[in-house]
Parts: sequence; C-alpha cells; structure tokens
Amino acid sequence: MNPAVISLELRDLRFTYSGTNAFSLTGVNIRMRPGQIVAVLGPNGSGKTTILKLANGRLTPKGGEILLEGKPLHDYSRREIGQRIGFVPQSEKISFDYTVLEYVSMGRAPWLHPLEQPTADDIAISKQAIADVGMAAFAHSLVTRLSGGQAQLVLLARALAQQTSVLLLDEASSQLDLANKKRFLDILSQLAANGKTILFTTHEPDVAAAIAQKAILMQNGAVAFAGPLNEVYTAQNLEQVYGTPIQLVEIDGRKVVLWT
Amino acid sequence: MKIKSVLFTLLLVTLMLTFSSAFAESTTITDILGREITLEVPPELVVLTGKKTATIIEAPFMFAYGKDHVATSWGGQDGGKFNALIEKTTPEITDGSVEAVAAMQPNMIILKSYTREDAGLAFEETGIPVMYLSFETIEDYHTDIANLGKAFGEEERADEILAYYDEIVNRVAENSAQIADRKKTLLVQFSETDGVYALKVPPVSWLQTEIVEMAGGDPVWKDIGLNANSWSEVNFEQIAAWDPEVILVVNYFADPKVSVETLKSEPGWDMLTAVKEGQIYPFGKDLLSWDSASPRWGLGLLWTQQTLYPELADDIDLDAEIMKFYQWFGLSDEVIQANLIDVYHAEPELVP
Amino acid sequence: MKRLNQFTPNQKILGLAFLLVAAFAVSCLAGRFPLPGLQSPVQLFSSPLNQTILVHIRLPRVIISMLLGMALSVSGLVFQTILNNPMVEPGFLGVSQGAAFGAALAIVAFNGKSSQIQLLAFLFGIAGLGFSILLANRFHFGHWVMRLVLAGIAVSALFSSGLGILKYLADREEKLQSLSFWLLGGTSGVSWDSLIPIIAPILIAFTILLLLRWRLNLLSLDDETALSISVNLKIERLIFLFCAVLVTSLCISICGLISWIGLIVPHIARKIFGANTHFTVPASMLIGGILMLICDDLARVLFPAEIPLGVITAILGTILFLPIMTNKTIR
Repeated sequence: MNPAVISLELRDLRFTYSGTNAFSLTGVNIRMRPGQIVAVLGPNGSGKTTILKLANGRLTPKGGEILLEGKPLHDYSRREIGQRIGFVPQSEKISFDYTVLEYVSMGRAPWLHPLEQPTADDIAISKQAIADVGMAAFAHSLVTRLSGGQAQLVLLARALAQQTSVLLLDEASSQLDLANKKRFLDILSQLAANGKTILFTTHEPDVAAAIAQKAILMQNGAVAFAGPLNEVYTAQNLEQVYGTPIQLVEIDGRKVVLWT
Repeated sequence: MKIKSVLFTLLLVTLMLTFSSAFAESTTITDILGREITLEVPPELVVLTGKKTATIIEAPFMFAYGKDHVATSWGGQDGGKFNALIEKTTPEITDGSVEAVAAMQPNMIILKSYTREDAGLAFEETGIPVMYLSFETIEDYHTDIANLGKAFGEEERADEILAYYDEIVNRVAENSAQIADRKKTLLVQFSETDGVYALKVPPVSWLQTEIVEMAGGDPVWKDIGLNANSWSEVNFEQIAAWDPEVILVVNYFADPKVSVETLKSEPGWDMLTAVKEGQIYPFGKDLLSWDSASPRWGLGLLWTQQTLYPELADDIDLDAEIMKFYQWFGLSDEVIQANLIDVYHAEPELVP
Repeated sequence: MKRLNQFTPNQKILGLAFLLVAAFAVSCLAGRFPLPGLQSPVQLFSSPLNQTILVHIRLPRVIISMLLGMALSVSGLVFQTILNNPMVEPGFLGVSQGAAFGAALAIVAFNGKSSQIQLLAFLFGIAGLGFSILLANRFHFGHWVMRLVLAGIAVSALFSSGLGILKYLADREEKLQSLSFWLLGGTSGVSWDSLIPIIAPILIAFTILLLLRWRLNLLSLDDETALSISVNLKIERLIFLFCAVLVTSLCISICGLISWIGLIVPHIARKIFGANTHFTVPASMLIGGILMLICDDLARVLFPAEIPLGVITAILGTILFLPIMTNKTIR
C-alpha cells in the first residue's frame, strides 16, 4: 500500500445528538495513512466514542465530511464500508452458544451475498484470523465460556476476518489484565506494521503511549490537542484535559503517566 | 259516627297489614343440593337468575303461580322467542347481578345447582332464601318439580306434572321392552361458529344419553368416558369407526335440518351405513331443541323412540303430544300450532 | 447423546428430514378408523370410505399439523435470535395474542368465514408486533430488547383482556363453548378449503427464511457490531419478523393458540446443532413438524373424543423443558 495515500480522513466534523442532550462535537480533524495507529484520548464523555460512530457510518455528521480512501463515506454502500472498515467493541453480549469459529466467521458477512453462508475460503480466512490473535486452540470452544480477555481477542479476530484496511477499536483493551493487554497491543502493532490503519479510543494514556504514533486529546466534545504522540503527550496537556495533576515519567524511552 | 267508622277501618287495615304475614304459611324445603330453606308460601316475588339457566328457566311457568310472580331473564338459545310466548306479568330481568336482584327485594331467588360456588354463595349472603334447581336428570326432575310445587303452594300441580312425565316414561319403556336388537345410535351436536363445524357427543351422564337408551337405542358414544361435564368433540373417523345405524343431529342455534343436509354433502358421509340407509335425522326441535334437559325432554323421548322404531311407536301422535306439553305453560292451541308445531314441521331454508 | 457427534450437521439435517417424512407417513396411517391405531398401507386403499378418510380427513389435518409445528418453531427461533433472548416465543411481542384476538373478533363480531378469520388474525398479529415496537420506542429506559419484551407483555395483556371481553360477550350468545375450544387450539376442523389459501404464503415465508438463514446469526449481534459488518438492521429485522409473524398468525387463525412448541423446539435445535442459524432454521422446522405431528396424532387417536391439541403440547413441552434446560451438552 502506498503510504502517501490517505486511508481515512475526518475533516472538520461536527455533530450534535438530537433531543435534550446538550453534548456537541466540533472541529474534529484526523488524517490517517496506512500503517498508522492513532489514539483518541480523553476523559469519559469527551466525545471519543462519537468519533468512532461517525467514522464507521453509524452516525451521520451534521457538518464536515469523512473521506475513505479519498472518497466521501456516504458514496460507499453499507457493504463496501464493511469491506473497508472493521470495528471492535469493548464487549458484546452473546446469549447463544456459538463456537469461536462460527462467531469469527460472521466477520465475513460484508464479503458474502445475502443468500450465502461462509464458504471454505471464508472459513480458512476466519481460522487464520483466530490464529493471528493466538486463539487457534479455542476455535471450537463456545464464545459464552471464554474469559473476558479471550472474548476480547475473539472480537478482534472477527474484525480481522473482515479483512479491512481500517480498524476502529472502542476501549477495546480497557478490560484486559496486564498479560492480555500486552498481547492485544502487540497484535495491534503487528497489524499496523502490515499496513492496517488503526484508530482507537482509550481513556488510559499509557496504552496510547505504548503503540500510537499520533494522539488526539479530546475535551468536552472538541479536540484540545492533536499531532504526533511526542508533541501532544505532555504532562501539561494531559493535566488540562483530565483536570487532575499529572506527572510524566520516561522509562526505557516510553512515557508513563503518574498521578499524585 | 263517620269519623269513628273511618278510624275503625284504618285500625283494621293496619292490623291486617301488621299480621298478614302471620297468615301466610311458613314452609321448609330441602333443595336439590340438600340445603334447607324456609320461606313463607306463597312468596310475593321470585327471581330466577344467574348463569347456565337454560334448563331451569322454563319450569316455573308450568305452574299458574309463575306467570305473575317469577321474574327471569328472557334470553336463551332461541333469543327469548319461547319466553315471549308465555303471558306473564313479571318484568324481564336485564341486570342479574347480586345488587340489582337484592334491590328487587324478592322473597326467593332460584339459581342453577352447579353455579353455587361460582355465583350462588354471593346471592346467599343477601339473606334472601336461595333455592337451587338442577333439572339435569329424570331423578332431579322429580325433586325439583316437587320443590317448586311446595314453594309456590301448588303441590297438586307438581304431582300432575310429574305424572305427565311418568306416563311418557312408562309408555316408552313398554315399547322398548319389545325391542330385541337395539339400534346403534349416535347423537351429535353440530355447532358451527367459525366457518368450520365441530361435532360433539354429550357426556354419558347427561339426559341425552338416557333418552337414547330409554327409547331403545344403543348409544355408541358410551365409551367416550373422558369428559363428564361438557360435550366432547369427535372426528369423522371415529364416527365412521362407530358406524351407527342411526344418526341424530342436534343443533341448538340453527336449524338441524340444514345441518343434516350439510353433513350429507361432506366427503365420506355418503358411505356411512346410517346415511346410505336414510337413517340420519335432525333432532326434533321447535323453537328449542328437545334433546336437552329442558322440560321438553318428554317430547324428545317420544320423538327419539318414534324415529328409531317407527313400527313400534306408531301410536305416538307427536303433534298431539306437542299440543299437550305446551298447554302446561298456559299457551293457547292457536299459539302452539302457529309458533311451535308449524316450526317443527317447517321446511329447512337451504342455502344453495 | 454423544454419538450425535459422529455425524456432520448436514447428515443430521438429513436424518431429521427422514424422521419428518416417517412421522408424516405414520400420521397418515394412524387414526380411529376402522380400529384405533395404525393401519397397514394396503388397508388404506381397501375401501372407498378408507380412501376418503385418508384424502379428506387425515391428509389436510396431517399437513396443517406439520406446517403449524414448523411455523411456530421457526418463528420462535427468529424471535429468540433477533431479541438475543433464548426465553421468548411468538407469544411475546403481542403476536399470538393479537392474532388470537383478531380471529376471535372475526368469530364473535362478524360471524366470520374462515378467510376473514385468517385475515383478521394476520392483521392483528402484525398489529400486536407493531404496537409492541411503537410502545418500546416510547419507553425511555433500558436496552432495546428489554423495552421490546416489556412492551410485548403489555400489548399481550391488552389483547388478552380484549379477548376476555369478547369471550364475555360471546357467552351471552352461548358461542363460548366453541370459542374456548378454539383458544385451546386444535386442528380437528381443518379441511382442504381452509388449508389451501394459507399454504402458498406459508411456503413463501419458509423459503425466504431458509434462503436468508445464515444472516439471522448476524441479527443476534449488538447493533453496533452488526452494522459494522454491513447488516441493514431495519430491513433485515423487518424481513425476518414479517415472515415469522405471517406464518404464526396464519396458523393461529386456523389452529388456535398452541403454546410451548415455539419456545422449546429452538432449544432442542440448538442443543443438537449449536447456535448457527444456518442449521437451526431448518432443524427447528423439521423438529417442530415432527413434534407437532406426534402431538396431533395423540390428540386424534388416543381417545374416541378429541383431546385439545394445546393441552398435549403443553404437557409435552413441560416434560421436555426440564431435561433440556438442565442438560447442557447434547451436541
């Protein structure tokens, strides 16, 4: 993939929820190239999730535009968006005993005709996705029996089976314990190295610091700071956004947040 | 002098009013449920109300007393047509609730025997004597008619009514005694409400079964056994398996003559023995069907025997019997002829 | 039950299909004529009366029982999957009660013919679903599924009280007896005349459900993720619900309210095939058809008098319910 190409661009996005909700999102500009990892940081209610919902077409912006591979998002069909943008939620409630393989292969839906079920090829792709997240041994386990960390990896595998160029993750690593979190973030880094564009939200600055090249700090529905991680990621900026005294420590070239 | 006599008259009237109740006779009656009720006979006003009154609602009017003192609702399977023929002076009851009935201040309330738990206990709470009637079996008829006679102060009339029924039973029994080979008989109720019809047979304990047996038939549904309290649906296969020699078709809400024609045109019916041999009959009915436990069961019994065994029962003159029966209700010959006998003989209105 | 693992899902489907054909054949042989029980196939054609009974009495009834079982089961599966709740059945969301009310209304108020009863049952079945969805949108709390189930309970209650009023009114004209039998459910009155008009719409709906069966899986996902894998939630939900309501209310209009099958059969299907609707849609249809054929055979053959079908399915459902709920691994 040509790194000069811009895979996803959010240009001057504005959004307000209809109804009594006073929240509004203004002036969001994000430009992402293949292989980039961008972190959207900020406290709860600052508008992180709204940005993801706009980016995958779930919400329609009230102003500005979203460009996917240079074309406006609304020019794509739902199916075409599904072939290009994958989404990993924080968690998903599943009431039925799907196997991991059955569940992950649902990610093939954008590539199937309405009357089709996954073919042998789709199953192979799904198995590979499961292997990519290190869950190959669990392919025939039931998703309802997985631990929280395993379930999160399976959600990621489903988005990988979707074979999209862009991956959106909503607080996808926040529930994981340390070992799983490391594994999860390593996989994301590896995916980016292979050319995937990754946009993820998190309220944990350390996670962003670990893998992102760019960061966007949100505050009250507006972008407070944006740019390369090193520039955005200062104690001063974080203190302003989170509204609490913060100290940044650098350990082995990686910034770690301390609060006092 | 004038004033004196007026005063005396007033005093006399007051005294009479005060003690008049003492002149009425107080009687204790044991009703069909074995409950003892005490009331002054004859009571001024009796209200017959509640649910499931179809079989009990007419019997009070076989007594002269009923026409002026028994109030009932008029509805029924004939939409109140028969009730309208009876010349009575009591009002029609449109609101049969406990409060409305209590407000009428009747001296006695009559209810159907098996509604006591559901509704009767509430009526009993009013303190007004409640008499339950059953009229479900011939034995019940003896108890219930006698009780009505006692309550109305017409015990002789009650004896006459019971003698009327006994005579019919004896006559039919004499004929039946001559039957060597009892005909396999099926009595079915044809009920059509939702575009499809259902065929149902009565419980073995009900009067319909007794009527067919007394008339000399062999009820094929005796092994039905399952449901003692309501009609049981049977399908055509079962009817074909029974293969009765005679089929009697009851229809409470519409003309059974039409039902018979409907059944004959249904697939398979023309292959049944009874239908092949012309032995499928609409059960006798004028405004109301004669098979049920209403006072018409005497007619139903005579009709059944004549239908099953015409050669034995050729002495039964059904028109005369209809006339005789409805005279118990004080109906004139003209009314009976025009409204009941002619209806019984009427041609069915067949829809092509 | 571990032996079932030896077979592929397709083999198991084939096995069920074979069982359904067998149940169908046995049902054609079973009856009260000439003697209670099974006839030999030769006997079936031995007399004109036998042939008439087979063609005009048993066949329409066997077909409607099979369709009824298939319809209730597959729509139960659709409801459970879409609502992401294994404890719902078509009775939720006001569909069954709505259809029952519509049919009763046709009987009591208009003295309806069978075609009117079917039409009103379908319209009120849809109306029940529509009311439930509208009402659910009015609730300002909880998850969509919870609001919908709550609204469904409220709408069902509304229609059953309406049904109660109709029953009360009907009682005065003494139509109650047939109405209450109809509410208990049964296939005894079914003739070709009443069966033929509903066959085509039911088969069309079945075909649509079978063709789209894998996509039903996607509707069990959270809205957000379903959308991200290109699911058109509004349209796809509508197609599935419409087909489910259509087959349910058409069957209810002829057979009355039959409980339990719609709840229990999808569970049996999932126990055998897992959750994948690619298999559970056909499996629910086949298992539902088989079970209902057995129930109806019992209803018409066991005693001289018909046993209301709803009573038998309730008994069978309760007997099956506990072991299925407590036994976790049949698969």
